[in-house]
Amino acid sequence: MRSPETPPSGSLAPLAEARRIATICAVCNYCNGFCEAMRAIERRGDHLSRRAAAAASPREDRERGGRGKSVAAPAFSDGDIAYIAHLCHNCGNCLTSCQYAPPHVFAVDAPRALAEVRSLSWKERPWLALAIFVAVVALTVVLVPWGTLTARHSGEGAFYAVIPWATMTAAALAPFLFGTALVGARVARFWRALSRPDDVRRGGSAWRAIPLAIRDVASLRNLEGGGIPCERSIARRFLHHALAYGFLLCFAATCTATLYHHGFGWLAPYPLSSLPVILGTVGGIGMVIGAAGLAVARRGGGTAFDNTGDFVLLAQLFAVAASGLALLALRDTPAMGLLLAVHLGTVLGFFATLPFGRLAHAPYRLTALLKAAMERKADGA
Amino acid sequence: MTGALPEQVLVIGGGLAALAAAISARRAGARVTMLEAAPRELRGGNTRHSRNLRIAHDGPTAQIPGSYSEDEFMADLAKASEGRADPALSRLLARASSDLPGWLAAQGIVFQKRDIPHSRKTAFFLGGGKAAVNALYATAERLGVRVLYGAGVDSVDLGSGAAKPFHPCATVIACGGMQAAMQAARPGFINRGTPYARGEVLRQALADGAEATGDADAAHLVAVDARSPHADGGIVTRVDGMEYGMAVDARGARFADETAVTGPTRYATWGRLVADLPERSAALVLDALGIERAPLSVFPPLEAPTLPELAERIGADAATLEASAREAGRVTRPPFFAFPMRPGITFTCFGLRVDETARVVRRDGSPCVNVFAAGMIMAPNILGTGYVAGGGMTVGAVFGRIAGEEAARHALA
Repeated sequence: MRSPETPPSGSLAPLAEARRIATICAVCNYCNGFCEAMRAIERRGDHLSRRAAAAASPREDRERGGRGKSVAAPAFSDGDIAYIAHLCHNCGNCLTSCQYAPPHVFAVDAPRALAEVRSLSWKERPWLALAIFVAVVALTVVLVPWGTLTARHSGEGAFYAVIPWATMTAAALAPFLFGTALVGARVARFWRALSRPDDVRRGGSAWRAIPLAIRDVASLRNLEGGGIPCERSIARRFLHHALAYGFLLCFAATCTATLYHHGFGWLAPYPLSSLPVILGTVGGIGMVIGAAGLAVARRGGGTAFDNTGDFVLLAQLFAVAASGLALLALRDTPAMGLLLAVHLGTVLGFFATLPFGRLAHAPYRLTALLKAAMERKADGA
Repeated sequence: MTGALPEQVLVIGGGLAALAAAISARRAGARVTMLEAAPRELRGGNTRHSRNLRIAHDGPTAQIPGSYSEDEFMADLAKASEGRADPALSRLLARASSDLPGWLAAQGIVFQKRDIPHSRKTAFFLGGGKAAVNALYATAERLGVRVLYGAGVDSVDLGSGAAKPFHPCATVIACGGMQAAMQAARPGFINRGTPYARGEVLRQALADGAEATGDADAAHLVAVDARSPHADGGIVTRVDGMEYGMAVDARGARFADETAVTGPTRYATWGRLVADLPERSAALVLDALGIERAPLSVFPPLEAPTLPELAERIGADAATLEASAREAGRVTRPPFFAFPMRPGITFTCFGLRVDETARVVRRDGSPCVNVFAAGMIMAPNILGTGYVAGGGMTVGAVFGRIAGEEAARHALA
């Protein structure tokens, strides 16, 4: 453990810095009314302080000492820090309220430190997304006869006249399933790291805490700052909702279209008044607004941890949504073929980078909030 | 903003008392200028390090459970001040405290309603004192209070109320105690609070004939880690958990019963004990079990496999330290840990006598016409050399409000 004012260095810097700050936060505790991240710090700080005082009898004391068990000053584990980091919504309230914020010698900036720890959980591969995009467009141009590509297609199955349905589905499904499995495995590892035995005992049933966690995710309740929402958080909440719900609507559009295709044998493209098109259009517009707005808001600064992963993800989601909307608008023109390839290229690039990228924050956050909801229930709050 | 117009009310200070005075004077219609000695990032005096207010209330509210009567508040003040509390001012404080949550909430402060540490006597600022300070500055600026940062003041003319280069109609002195001056005068002391409480205005006002209250040598002290910053360490630097180990002086000898006081008063008790040592230096020594029982610390403990080696690390005498450990009986299992300690000043207990309108009183008993005092610079009228949790904040808010209203009344008359 380092002194509260020494800056960390080296490859473990983000974890070490977050541990230094979490320790100061746990001892101070003034911000515990703000959010789940601060309450998690408080609970773990209390736990570290009382880990022996509460339970150990003199006999246990002797046994512990007698076994020559390695002894160290209490400290937050890496699992604790990762958990706290994924609970932080980066609203900035704790920074503006912090008596130890820079220029104080302790230089406590929890939002930044926790953002840096979160960023360890993903690694953007923008070149992979770009390569896939270029490959899809190039392959389409090379493999599809030019006349077919630039022709005006309309009516049922128009898209598949350009790119066969089976090709499109296989190309999309493979990276999507691979990505989902990989993310699932990593999140499971995260869950095990934060489910230490004593916490499991404290936490109780995960199933019963799920509704609470879903409510927290769906509402971004933790951006309320416990009653002091900072100005930035109001805009960020709106933009994040526009992006996230837009994304979900687009996903719902895809699912509906799949049902149409397989359940009813109706082939895309569907009429403007159909459910998949309405869902996709509203969702796409939401994504465009949300992604662009968040990118601008991030540039606008504040706690401004410059996370290029954010921009890569926002750019990808913007490209997926904007190309989808363009395809919708121009699907009855000769540009459709190329736009279809462009849209498919952005979607496949997005799926392929899913397991590495910034979107993994969603399952991590859900997992952390589920854990927090379990602890909240155990505390009777 | 008041632009080039001369201010009617000048407020010296930047903490809760100054903000309450500036806001209430501005709301009463006066043009107000506030002089905060600190730069903007470190504004707010000791309020920045505070968290709660002591509030009399008849029944549970969203902010405070239970009830706490005015009489009980008065009794706590009388006990803490060892009977030196001014009865009229104490009564005024206890009575006015009950309005504070509502008034402060109307000025933008958000109180904590869940996850609050249990206390039926105090209400907590959501996010702590700096969040409260930020809210009050935002309100003051929105109302048109002119705030100047980095604007320390040396003297106030008790006759005219002028503080160079300002010529206000009335002045409120709300610039805290003199902890930075006391720290400078006593090697080994650490200032936990703002370094901008230098006591210059206080010293000059006393030289000019103002009547003193409290004790110039007294301060609220706690034992803090010797590695704390020289000022502004706030709450996290205090050392706790003496009952799980032993406290030793610079030689390595115990100087008090570590298990005698374990309640909330333990912090002040150990602060005084360490300050009374000739070297003003001590250490908390813990063994392998003690380190697990002691509360989490922001400073890493010094560590050694044996007591003699630990003695070397803390500069104590090995034989004395081993004898102390045998005597205490709680420090037996290696490895051993130590936290070096120093006395830490929270605030000083010396200031200006005021009357019930917060006017500064001269030694001849006459109140100054247009010079008022609020906050820690007049808190010793009520607290003497004692301390009640959240009491200083309540004094600041109540007398800041009174001083601001009275100053505006005088300025606008």
